[in-house]
Amino acid sequence: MTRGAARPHPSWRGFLAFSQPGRAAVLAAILTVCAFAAVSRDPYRQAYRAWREADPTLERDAAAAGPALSAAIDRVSNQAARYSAALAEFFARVASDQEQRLAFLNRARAAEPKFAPQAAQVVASEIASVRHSLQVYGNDPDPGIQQVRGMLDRENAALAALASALDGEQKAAAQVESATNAEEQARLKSLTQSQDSVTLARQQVSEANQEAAAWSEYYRTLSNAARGVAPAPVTPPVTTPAPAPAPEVRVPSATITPLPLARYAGAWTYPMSNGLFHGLEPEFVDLVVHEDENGRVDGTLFGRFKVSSGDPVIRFDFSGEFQNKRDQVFPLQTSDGAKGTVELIPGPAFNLLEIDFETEPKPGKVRQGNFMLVKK
Amino acid sequence: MRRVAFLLLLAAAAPAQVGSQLDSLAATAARASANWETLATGLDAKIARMLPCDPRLTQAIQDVSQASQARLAARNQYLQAALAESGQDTETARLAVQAGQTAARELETDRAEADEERIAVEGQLSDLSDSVKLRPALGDARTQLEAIAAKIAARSTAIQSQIARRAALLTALNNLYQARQARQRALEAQLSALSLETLRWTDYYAVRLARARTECDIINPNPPARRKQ
Repeated sequence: MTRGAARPHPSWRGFLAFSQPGRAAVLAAILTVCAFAAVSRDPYRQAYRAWREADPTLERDAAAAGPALSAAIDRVSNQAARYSAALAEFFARVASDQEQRLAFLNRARAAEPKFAPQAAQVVASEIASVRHSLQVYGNDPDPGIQQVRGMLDRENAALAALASALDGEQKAAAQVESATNAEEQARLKSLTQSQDSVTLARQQVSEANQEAAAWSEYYRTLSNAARGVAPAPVTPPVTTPAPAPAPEVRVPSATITPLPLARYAGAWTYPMSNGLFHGLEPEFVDLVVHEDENGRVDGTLFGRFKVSSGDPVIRFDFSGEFQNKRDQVFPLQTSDGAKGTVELIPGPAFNLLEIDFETEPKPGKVRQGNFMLVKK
Repeated sequence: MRRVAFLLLLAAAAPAQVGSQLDSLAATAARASANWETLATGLDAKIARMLPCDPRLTQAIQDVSQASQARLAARNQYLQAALAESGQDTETARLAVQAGQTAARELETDRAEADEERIAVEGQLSDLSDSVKLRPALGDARTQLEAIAAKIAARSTAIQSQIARRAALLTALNNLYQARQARQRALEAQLSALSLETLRWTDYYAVRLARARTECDIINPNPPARRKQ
């Protein structure tokens, strides 16, 4: 690199063409825009997916603890720790970002300066003086006096116009002062609200860290229990049939539907790759369906879709009674209060469930979805 | 990259620069105003004992007139800078409102994700409860998982509370934005009023000077040709 005469890079020339205060304003604007950039959610979302996909059947497999389970628990525990750390980091960055971007609220505005407080007195004094002279000269017929009197009349008119303009300017200055005070009140109120919000955001970071510790403790306990169980199978495993190794093969007390209730009930998710859908493509979907012994069902679906605009997230609850038919339809209500229906259609395989839902339209909200879920 | 860092450093210093520039302009305007006030309030006493054609008389009026022009120009400069700063402050408030609106939507996502996590944990709990029936040693783990589910539910509640607080903050920021817009309009009105006042002062001093010359002309109608100064 040469050290010759410093020439600005072409891309800077436009910027340098601004005057110094103009440059400061442009730079301040750039900084302001930068300060309002959003914090990315990708790291914790990726960590969450990795954790959830690491071993979705871990808790179910815990019943039949084998030597490989401890290793699996450790692996899942690591993924959970990564997610928890990423989530806590996200909350911390959001809190810090909010604090930083609202830092301008800490800057109090100085009181409006008052210039030339005696200006009105000067004008009043001149008006009094001119009017006194006008009275003194009266209707004197002397041409010279008349000439001066004419000048005094003009001066009196100029002073009257000046007094009016000065009054207007003083009123405008009072308006500025009043507006500055109102702005200061609004700033202080915003500052208080901002401090409240930041305090809560910081608490959220602390709670996320507590969750992280709780997950770590949970997996440690699970691992210990698995290790404690592992040496136990002294008895030959074949002599007594293991009681119900796969929880999804639950036998309902009274099956109303033509297919086993397990074809509808349980935890379901949208596959990470090669998912089947019609209409909006899901990014992820989680569905939990519970049934009770009376044939009633309740469930919750949570999903995010690839949309070009609007809210990509939908969450709804549904409940009802199973009917004696293959495809089950239930009324639903979204977290935004929209009503609709959801149809549970058993898929071509035991672990597949097709979902078809539709809600009443709400601006910017997902209102339809049709996709295939796999059982967790 | 270094240039970008340099720019950001400069930008960080920019509000302080604007502030100090405003203070400097205010100080200049205050000095110019004080100077004019001294001359204006002393003018009548100063010229009272002068003869109409005394050149010091017109000079005294011209001095006050020039001081008036100087102080009004200084005030104009101050107000222009204050208006520029006000515009920047208003824009900052507008962006804060915009960011607050985005943050409110983001909180809805936080809540939805907490719900998603809660559902997932409920699934885990359901599986683990089945496993506990077969392996009672897993009971402690289930208790801990239940505690985690409660924490996640508490997170969802905390987010709900944060949503309410952010809504209050957003309202406050919106009020601040409107207050800043109102102040900006008030400053614009003051600048306009000052321009009119400047014209009126100029007119007045011109008439005042014309009267002084007229008074001289009446007393001394045929003055010798003025020497060039």
